[in-house]
Amino acid sequence: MTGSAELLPVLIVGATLLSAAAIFPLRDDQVRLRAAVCLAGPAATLALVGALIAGVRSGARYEARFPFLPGDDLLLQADALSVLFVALSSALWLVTTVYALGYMRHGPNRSRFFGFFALCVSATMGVALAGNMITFLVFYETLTLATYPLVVHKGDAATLRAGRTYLIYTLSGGAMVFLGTMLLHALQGAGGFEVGGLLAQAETRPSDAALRLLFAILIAGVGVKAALAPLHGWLPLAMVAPAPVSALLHAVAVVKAGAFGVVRVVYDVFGVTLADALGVLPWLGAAAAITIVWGSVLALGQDDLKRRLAYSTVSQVSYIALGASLAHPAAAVGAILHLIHQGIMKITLFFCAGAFAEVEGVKTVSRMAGLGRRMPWTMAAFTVAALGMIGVPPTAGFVTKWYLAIGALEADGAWVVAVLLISSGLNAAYFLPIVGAAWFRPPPDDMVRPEPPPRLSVALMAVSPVVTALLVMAAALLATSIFSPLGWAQALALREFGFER
Amino acid sequence: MVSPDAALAALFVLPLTGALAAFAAPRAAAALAIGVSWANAALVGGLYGMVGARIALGGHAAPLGVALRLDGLAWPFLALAGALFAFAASATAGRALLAKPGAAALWLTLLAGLNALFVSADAFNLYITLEVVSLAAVALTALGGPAAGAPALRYLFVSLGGSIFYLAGVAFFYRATGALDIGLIGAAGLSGPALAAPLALTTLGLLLKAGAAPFHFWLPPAHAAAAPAASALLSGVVVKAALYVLIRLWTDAAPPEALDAAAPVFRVLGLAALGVGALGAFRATRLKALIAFSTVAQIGYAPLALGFAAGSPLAVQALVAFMAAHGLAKGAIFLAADGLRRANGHDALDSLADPGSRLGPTKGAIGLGVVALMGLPPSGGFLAKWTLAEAATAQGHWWMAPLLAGAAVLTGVYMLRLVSALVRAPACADGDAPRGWSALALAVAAVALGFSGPMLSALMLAEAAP
Repeated sequence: MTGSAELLPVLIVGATLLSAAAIFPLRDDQVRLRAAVCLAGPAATLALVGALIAGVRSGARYEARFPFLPGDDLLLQADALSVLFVALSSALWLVTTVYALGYMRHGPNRSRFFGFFALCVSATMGVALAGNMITFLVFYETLTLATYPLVVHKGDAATLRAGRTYLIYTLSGGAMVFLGTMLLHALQGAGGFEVGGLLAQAETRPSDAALRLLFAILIAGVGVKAALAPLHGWLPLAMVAPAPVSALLHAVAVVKAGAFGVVRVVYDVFGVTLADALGVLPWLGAAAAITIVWGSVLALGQDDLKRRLAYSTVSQVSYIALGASLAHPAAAVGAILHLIHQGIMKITLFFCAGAFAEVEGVKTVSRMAGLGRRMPWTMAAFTVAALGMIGVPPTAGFVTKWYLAIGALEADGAWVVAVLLISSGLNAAYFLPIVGAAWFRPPPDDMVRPEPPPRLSVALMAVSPVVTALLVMAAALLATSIFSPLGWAQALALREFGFER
Repeated sequence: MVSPDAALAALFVLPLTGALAAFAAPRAAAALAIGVSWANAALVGGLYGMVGARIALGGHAAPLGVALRLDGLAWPFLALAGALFAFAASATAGRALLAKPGAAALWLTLLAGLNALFVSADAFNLYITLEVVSLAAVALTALGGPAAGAPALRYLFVSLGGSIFYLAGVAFFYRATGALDIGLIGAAGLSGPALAAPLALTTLGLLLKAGAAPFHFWLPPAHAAAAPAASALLSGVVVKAALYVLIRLWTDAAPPEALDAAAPVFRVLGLAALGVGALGAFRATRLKALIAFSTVAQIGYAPLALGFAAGSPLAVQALVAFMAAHGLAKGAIFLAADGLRRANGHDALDSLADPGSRLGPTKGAIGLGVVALMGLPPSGGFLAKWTLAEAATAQGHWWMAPLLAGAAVLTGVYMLRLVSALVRAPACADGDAPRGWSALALAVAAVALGFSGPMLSALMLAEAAP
């Protein structure tokens, strides 16, 4: 460590931890103070992330090491991939906090809720900024633990059962990552993530069998959180969580940390060239393709809106693994972009689902008719995000699918295009009827509306999805501007495939 | 600057004087016990700089005199005892226990015995101090109330039985080598039955005292029936005393070849404890029974790690980390469980509910304590697991890596019965239950221990130096 600038990654994780530590001791009735603290955390973090982005753009290197285990350091660093994820997490943390302040307006344990919310983001930041596998493992496990109290927030018997399943899945995933980290350590020593692959740069290459085993173990470990079939069983059950938690889980924290892990393992632990040579990528691609289609098919049958969205996540997140498995720069751009794009689209949908339930008491697809007239802004946001999921231009989803398709065609993977088309068809089949009924059909006659929440709550729950829906459009319309993640993703892909530096 | 002689002697002179004073002045006894516990913690902290000291009391060197030594193995155990006694004494549960007649004197006697044990370098002294520790621990257990009588009596019998085996082993050592100093016994270079018989006898005695499976039968009733603060000490550090002597014998008195030969037995014993403890924890219906069975399981890591310690300082380091992490975490959980039980008004495990937001520190202590017991990063338990996995895989025992990874999940699943109580709605009215700050401090220490890897390595190096 030579200067304060190198500490930026530490400061970012520290700011999120600090905000958690500041929230926990607050009493549940300190509503205003808690709101102030809850908003200060993401605001400060965003400022730090802004400085980090500027620094990384200008070529600065951020790396902070702390001695940890015998022969292994904790290493926080900021490369382009971590910057993308950190930016997504901090921005969506702010929006979700605004939303949650409107949503969680009564009930016990709100300080606990917001405290673990911040801790969850903290762990996600750590996953993003981890510079080696040990550090990744530390934050990956912390994420599991920080999320549990959020998932079981309601605390009734059914919720606790779902939480138990969630924990068994994710702890087992963590155990696999522990094993993989151990094996990587034995094969390669204490190396950090490298563009082009840590293992690819090894002087003595371990046996192919050992490497394939390592790949399987690590992918299984991160695949649990990424909800890669058949490890996705926990995700629909975790829908017992309050809507802001589902939003965060699906867009930023847990599921995304898993998908981010897939990208790290393929690109920075193995390197796409080595992974390709080992012949493991088609297996990953097949698992992802099956997950994409299977998740969509299951989503079709769900009447509960949040469960439908959950299966849709199972499907959509696997685009990232699919893109990573294609070993083509354009597909890599698609995969990296989808880390961001899936986040802003899915968070919008969950914001809307939560608002429908809280404001109009609508929790199922079959009762959504006529919602467009009652909650036009929210429904408009839902519509934009749903179109994004289908891949209609001009939305973020279109950009992703475009790059994935180009990559697939150039990598001679026409079957992937077929998967994309089938999936888009299924996406349309489970989203368009909702949107159509909401805008064009009258509400059901036996509509029972709950006590309307305070106006401020309603406003906060409407603003958040509208903002993220605008981002979904902006990600496509402004794709070529310097603010867009596309440029970052392209630069990353070029370096990974050895076209630059 | 205090001389090492005085500082090491103060380790047992201070608590013993305190015990006598507490006996003489019962009214001031509780305050005295708290004060001396903290003074001892400060003393141990100051001793960190003296690691490596070896003194001969009264100027007589071994084999004639009584030698004390403060090495890299002893200090972590002293520190564990120091932290546990200080925080447990300050906790509400600790003050309640110390207010009972005789408790303060027993408390300080136990501390004196443990401190003396950790710095003893000779097998007979270890026997004496083990006895002091056992008797004080049994008496503290019995203070748990009428229900604690029978478990305490059983504890006493097992402990005495263990002592007989241990003493017989020491007698054999003395007959064969004419020495009692552990280092001199090791230097005598025994082999064959002359080595195997005393090792087997002492090991049997120590495993009985430690409650290591298959000799665990007495432990859960005793640890569950004792007063909460006493349980924290019993699980946290008392069982570790016997395990500490076990490590000493096998690493200092026995040659690595002997440990290598016995390694499979130790591994099997360790795995058996993990299994038996987990099974008991799944079947427990009472709060403290679950926590006590988790102790049975966690003790298993000691023989398991010893099974890889032949010529591997890394495995010894892992063992120390296991003991320290478990001690701190278990102390925290026992203390916090008291708050959880009092807030709920009962201790039926599966119907305990959220003790309310006022008891945030209690909830934090249990949560963090469980993280350390599971061995999830960045806790002390993780440091222990990682180090042991590294030591074992370096010796070609690859099966240990998935085993340790799986054990974390298993621990998580049975400890979830406790953790889910913290979030089960509706929250109970917490009344006057203690908030649990002392427990939280211990739990934070158990997690922070995860960052002590470099320090532990340095301590182990200090031990290796002549």
